[in-house]
Amino acid sequence: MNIVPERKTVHRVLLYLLTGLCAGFVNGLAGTGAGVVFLLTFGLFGGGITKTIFSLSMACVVPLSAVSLITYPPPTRETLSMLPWLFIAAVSGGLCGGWIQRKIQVKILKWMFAVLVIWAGLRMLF
Amino acid sequence: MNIRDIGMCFLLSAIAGTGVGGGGLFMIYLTGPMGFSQLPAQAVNLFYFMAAAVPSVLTRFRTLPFRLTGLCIAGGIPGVILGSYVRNLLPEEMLAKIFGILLAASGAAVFFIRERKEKKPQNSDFFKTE
Repeated sequence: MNIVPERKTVHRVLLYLLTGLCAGFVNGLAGTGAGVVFLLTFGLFGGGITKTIFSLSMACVVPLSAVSLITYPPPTRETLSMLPWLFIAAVSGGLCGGWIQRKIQVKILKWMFAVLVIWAGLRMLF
Repeated sequence: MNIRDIGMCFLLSAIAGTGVGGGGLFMIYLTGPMGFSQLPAQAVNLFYFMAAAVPSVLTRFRTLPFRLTGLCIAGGIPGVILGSYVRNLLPEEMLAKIFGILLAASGAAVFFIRERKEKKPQNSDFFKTE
């Protein structure tokens, strides 16, 4: 599969490597934002985002997040005690969200969420 | 961790599971009501994201473009190491501001990312030249 079929192979390979490098840097620095790097780059060069690109983005960010997690200091006992509950809530919530996605119009939710996230980000700045 | 924290984690994961995002908001909750400092919150947030994302990735595993994914990961790992090195040089207050900028950018990206329908898969090899 070619995300950017109009470009030569070498250019495509370099683009994918460079995109990964930038996304990895952002993930290592702040622990978030790598997915947006992938989506914006492939959306810009590929003429839009498809479901496969969404999946690709998540599939790339998961191992990068695992590598990034190793670079953090070991967790405290208190943090370790909450991780199992966090894991159960996250997995069950993710599966529930996948079910919801098939039932409601996600576009409206996406716009509402975007406004909320922008507000949250600006709140952290000031 | 109490019932309220577990409920909030479930809710934010459900939002993330719809595909609109959610990890950034969980950071706000970790650094706010739960009282984590920036670095431990980032680590917990990464763990939370992986727990929520892996089931979603596994459901679409067969449709993934593996060679392309491998290239992105191959480029990403050195980037993660470099980013982690820079992270250890910066004070936590600056990391919080950087996170805030990335979070706002993630939200704003929704208005610029255009979605399109999937084209039928081509039979050509990934490394075929133009």
